[in-house]
Amino acid sequence: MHWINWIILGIAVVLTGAGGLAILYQLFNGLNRTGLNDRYVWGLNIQGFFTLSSYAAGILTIISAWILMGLPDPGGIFAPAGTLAFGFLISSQILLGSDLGRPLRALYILKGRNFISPLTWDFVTLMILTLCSFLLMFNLVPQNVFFIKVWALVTLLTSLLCIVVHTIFFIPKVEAGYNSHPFSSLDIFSGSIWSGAAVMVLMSTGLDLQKTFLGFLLVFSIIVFASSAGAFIASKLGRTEHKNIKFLVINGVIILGLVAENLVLKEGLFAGPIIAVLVLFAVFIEKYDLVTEYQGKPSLPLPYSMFEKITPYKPSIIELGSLVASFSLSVVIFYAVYIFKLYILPFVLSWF
Amino acid sequence: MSKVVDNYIEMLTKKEFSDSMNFTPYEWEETDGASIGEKEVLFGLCRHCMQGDCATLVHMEDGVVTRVEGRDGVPPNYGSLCPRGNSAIMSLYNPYRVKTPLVRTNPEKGLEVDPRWKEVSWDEALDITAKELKKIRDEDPRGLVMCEGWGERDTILRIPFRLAYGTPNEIGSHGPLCTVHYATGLIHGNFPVSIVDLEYCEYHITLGRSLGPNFATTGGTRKLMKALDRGMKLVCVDPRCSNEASKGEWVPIRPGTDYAFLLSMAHVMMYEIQTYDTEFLVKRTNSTYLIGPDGNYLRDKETNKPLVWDKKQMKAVPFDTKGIDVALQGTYTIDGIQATTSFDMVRNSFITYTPEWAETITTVPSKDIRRIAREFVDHARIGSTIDIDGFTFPFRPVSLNTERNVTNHRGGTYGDLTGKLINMMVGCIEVPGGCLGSGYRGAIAAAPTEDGTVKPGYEAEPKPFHFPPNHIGLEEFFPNCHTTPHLAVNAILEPEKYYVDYEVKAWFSVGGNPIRMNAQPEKYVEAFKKIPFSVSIAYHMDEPAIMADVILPEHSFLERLRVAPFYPQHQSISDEVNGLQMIQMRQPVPKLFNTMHVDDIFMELADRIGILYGEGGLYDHLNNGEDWLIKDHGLNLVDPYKLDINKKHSLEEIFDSQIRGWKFGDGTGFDELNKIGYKEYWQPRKNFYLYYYYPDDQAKYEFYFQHLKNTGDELHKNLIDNNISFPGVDNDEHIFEMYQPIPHYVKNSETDAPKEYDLWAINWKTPYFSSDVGNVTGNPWLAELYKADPFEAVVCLNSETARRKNLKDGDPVTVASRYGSLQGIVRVSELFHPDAVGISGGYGGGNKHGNPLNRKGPNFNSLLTTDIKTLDGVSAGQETAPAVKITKRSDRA
Amino acid sequence: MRYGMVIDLARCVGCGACTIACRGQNGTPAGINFNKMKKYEVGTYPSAKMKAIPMPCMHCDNPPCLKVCPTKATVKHENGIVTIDTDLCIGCRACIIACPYDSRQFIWKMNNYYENQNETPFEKHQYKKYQKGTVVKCVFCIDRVNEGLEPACVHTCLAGARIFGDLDDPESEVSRLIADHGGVAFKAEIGTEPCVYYING
Repeated sequence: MHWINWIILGIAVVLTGAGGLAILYQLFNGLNRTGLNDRYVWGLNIQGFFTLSSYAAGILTIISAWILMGLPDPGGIFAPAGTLAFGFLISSQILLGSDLGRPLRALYILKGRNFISPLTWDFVTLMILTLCSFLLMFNLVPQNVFFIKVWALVTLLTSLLCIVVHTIFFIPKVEAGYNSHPFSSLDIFSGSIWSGAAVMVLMSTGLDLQKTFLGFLLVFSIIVFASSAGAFIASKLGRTEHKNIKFLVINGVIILGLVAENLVLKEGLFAGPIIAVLVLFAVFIEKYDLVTEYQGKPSLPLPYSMFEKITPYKPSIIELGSLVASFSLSVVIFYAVYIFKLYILPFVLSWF
Repeated sequence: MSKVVDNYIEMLTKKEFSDSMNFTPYEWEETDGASIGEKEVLFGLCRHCMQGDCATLVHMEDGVVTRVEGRDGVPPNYGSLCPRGNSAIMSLYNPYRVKTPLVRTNPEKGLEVDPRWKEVSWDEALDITAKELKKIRDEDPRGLVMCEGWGERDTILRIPFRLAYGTPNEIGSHGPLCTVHYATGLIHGNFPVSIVDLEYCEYHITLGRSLGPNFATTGGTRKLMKALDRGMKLVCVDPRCSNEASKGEWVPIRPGTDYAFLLSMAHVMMYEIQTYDTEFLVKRTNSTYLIGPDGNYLRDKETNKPLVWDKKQMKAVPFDTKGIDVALQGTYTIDGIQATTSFDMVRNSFITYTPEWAETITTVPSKDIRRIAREFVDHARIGSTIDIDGFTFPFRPVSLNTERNVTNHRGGTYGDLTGKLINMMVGCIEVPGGCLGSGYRGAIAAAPTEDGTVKPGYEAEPKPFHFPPNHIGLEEFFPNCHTTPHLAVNAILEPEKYYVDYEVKAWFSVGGNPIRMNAQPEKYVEAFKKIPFSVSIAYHMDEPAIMADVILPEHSFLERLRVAPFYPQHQSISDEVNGLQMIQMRQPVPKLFNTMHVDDIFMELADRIGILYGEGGLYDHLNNGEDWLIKDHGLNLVDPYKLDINKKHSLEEIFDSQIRGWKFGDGTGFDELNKIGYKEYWQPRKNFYLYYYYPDDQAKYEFYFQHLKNTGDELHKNLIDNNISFPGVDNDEHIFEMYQPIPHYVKNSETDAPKEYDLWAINWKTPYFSSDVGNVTGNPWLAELYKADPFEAVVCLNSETARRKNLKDGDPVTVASRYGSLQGIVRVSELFHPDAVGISGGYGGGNKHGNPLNRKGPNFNSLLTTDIKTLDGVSAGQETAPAVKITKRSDRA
Repeated sequence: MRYGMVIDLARCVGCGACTIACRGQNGTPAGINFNKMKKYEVGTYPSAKMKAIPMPCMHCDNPPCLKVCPTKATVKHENGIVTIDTDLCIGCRACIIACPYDSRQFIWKMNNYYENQNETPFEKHQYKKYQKGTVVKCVFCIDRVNEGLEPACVHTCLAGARIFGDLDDPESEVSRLIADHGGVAFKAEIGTEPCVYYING
């Protein structure tokens, strides 16, 4: 492993350890030290969860679509990408678990079997995706076209479902005419694929293949930009409050970066990964809109809510710790599996 | 594990521990194991407002009070209960209560000074207090001042204790900000106020007061809603668009100018409408009495009776001559003396009070004043009658009522009296649908004097004069005053200036808290420091308690045994309680702390001082006392149930005797009442209207306020006889111009304030604070409500004013009057007159050991003054709408 | 049988007795309000009015909160009342996000009413019903209703502004008031089918 990787792993382990205390605190003591309040019941934890699961679903969507189209694994990047997806999924679930008021009751979801609840589907799809990514990670899918296609189909459908489900939470609260609401499934979906493409760019660092994925990324960036710019203009014209300007700016920078990368910095080694990380960051910001901006408005219309005090949401150190821990945990899992496969697995296998 | 994480988190977040370090939370005792599984329901009687009459049920489970709710089917609340009543549990389980007798060890006194309390036994605390009080009594009993207040209104022995002790100095801390009693006493012979008959009223004008909804009284709210359902028109003249104003017509008025509005409304009725209830004026008022050049009734030389002009015989005859045709108007010459009828006297002096004149003062458009006056007269149905219980009454379904924010200015008594003139012109006094006294409903209240007019009752009956004054509250100089802590504090600090020739040596607090609930708190603190010995019967650590040398802790109201008569409600009346005579009982919950019932404290103290037994002792005074408010309708000790004055009685025994002697009772006693919680007796409804007792021309109301003039003349004479001037004012005329028999416009102390004081602060009662009973502001259930209420604990400003002053919603400001200042946060609203600064309730103040909630919010009272020059000369009422200036603060503290 | 409530806004004076009666009845921890009282004003000076609107749980017939609950902790009873089984609640708060009326609250921690003080005997006794980390809301005082009593907020109301009864019975007072006064439900257009109606607003 390259020394840079060891440094990244080292930092990730430290961050996971320190931030992990925050997750443990939440698991054992509940949410009393978060910045959450009666107005903002979902915060950074859920934002992180949405982001991480969205990344994972994006990765798995691209891989499974790729496979379904009958294309071969380009340069063996599916397994590491799957590993990262697995890491994201595990971290996202830990983050979500620590955000529950009663984490030990999480399995009641299976008992409840309320299949009109998006959360149930969230739970189920995440379980399936975790399994799918696990299979991919260790190449456990029987190397037979049928099984591979079944795996790909299940993964693709589950990923799509997982992404779409996240939008359903907010529908009842949205006023009449919610179709114009910025958080439509398409936005979330394109954001997810976009982050998936970004991960593929990361994974293909150093390979020629990266060019292809950068191409994908440019296409997705333009789609995402177009859709969010449209929403922004619509909200301006409709005089509804919508503050995705940050997201839009980052998006613009990404597109510029991608174009520049293609035109000018043809040989740049780090330009690709940097843009990819920027994309991941942009998706994280987009979830901020979804979770935080949305809740900031009073539920009741004027004049009923005219004197309602909106307590601002300021994430606490615990939430920041949890978020950092969950992101770094994904990295730790990624490297742990890599190390396991590189050093431990052959050693164990040699015993037999 | 979690502790480690916790500490780690603490370290990260650097949270300061200061709150918890300085403060030891109270450790509650475990519930008695024996009561686990037990359920019990007690009969309750609420005491979270001054009225204190709502029947409740107190549910206990496992020895814990779990619920206090209204008692179904029982008047006056019929199951409903206001937010304060529902919060009673938190006043019981209040960690800021005084839990055991305490004695001060730190001689330095102050609100922020730790008294270094020493916990002592009851015997010790009572002995220290009794020894001190006995010493003072032996020297001069006037050296003791007893300060009562809304904080403790469940005692029946306070007055007997004071009488047995022999001090005249009993002072209600709450009084001078609510001097609303004079006109009602003079006209209706009633106390405390006059109210509207919501059973029939069709047009009601209300000024400076509430019918109940503004501060959430159970009966008042429901009655008003029923009346509005019925179609009654409600007009609220108020600088603030209150709840009530929102249910009717809001007439915004500049703060403190209601009097001018009333004068011009009367002017319109006298000069523009000129439709009077002539029969009422002639038969039931003194408006036909002839007034001589000296401003007094012209009297018959033989009988000394006031004279009226008989149009038939064309001569003056005694007012009660039969078969005469009396002139309401005109000027006549009798034996060479020119005399004018009272009516014309009044009318003539109202000529200048045009609506245009009033508009410049009140900002109320003159056309609105004219319209309201016209509507009022039109709705009065002059000439109509109604049959109630077989008795025919005049039917006048209109009423105009005034209260605190009309009366609490210099000239406030005139304002209240002008309201009476308006009512009298349409004849709606003490008849169905009209304006009624809210106190004693019986013949005594309406009985006429020899002059034919109703005998003034309660505070309209002047207190006797002594010089030098006996009363530390200078009641001698304000014979029609309400309570006078603001005068007492002046007299204590500067006795010579006020001719007081003795020293106050002890202050005894029994529910009164003038430091927080009057004006100029720092002045009261000075007085407390000056008085050598101070003792407080305290429910919680309030300001008089932290200033005290000895604290005698009392029960919270749920723990107090109480048997009380039903006092007529003073917001409004309707058939819901019309005619109701009732006694109610409160069964006490087990006491939590080492506290005593306030009346047991009085008996213990009296015993130790040696004033409990024998003639002139506490029991003797109790035997001979009568309910101050509802007299023989109340709970009194009558033969054969009077107490043996030489034997100790428990509170239960005293109540038992009172119940047995109750006028409307069945002779049964405490045990019977204990089974059902209340006894009711419904008098015929007709008995409620005082017209019934002296119908037709048998009793007359003063249209020309001769009694007011008499009191003023008498006081003037007393000053001259003693060769003194009126204390606290530069010119005696400043006082005596308030004793004219006809109201005339006077500027209040805030009218011509320096230019920079360009707004007037106003204050009102809220659903969370109606008066300082049981420390409702410190009640955390109510606190959660008032914190969420946009108009509570803030400084409210009209949006236009805010714009002009460059202030935004949420800006920190300082509001300063010429007497004091406060800090607060601006609330911009459309519900306020542009000249008003609205500050609600009784927030702010507080002390080192008290409930921290009492420190929150702006303390309106700190804008007020005790300066005698600013008072109403008759009632001694303090100014409640001080001129203020508002400035933005730069710090966001 | 479908319990519902009518709130007469012409009668409501915004005193908050309902909120406190609810607190006493349900013994909720500090910060939790099953019945919220929103105060607001309409109009401009001098024709402005002060208004108040009490907001209990609407006990929707088509409750979004029930739909999103993954463990079926939220249930709609046969009598129409929507309650939460505290023992099943995992504290995911999806129902709070879903509720268009802000009717639900999460117990972040068991707060005492007297800040920086220990819990009083009352709180100690009553808080047993509640668990930190779960969601709570107005239950139309279901225990009282099952005993044939009306909810505490209705019982205590000074103005008689709240009326409780069976919406399925066309003869009930609530049904008549809705019919006679044109009762409207809050945000009915989003299809929640609330069982709390407002009249004379």
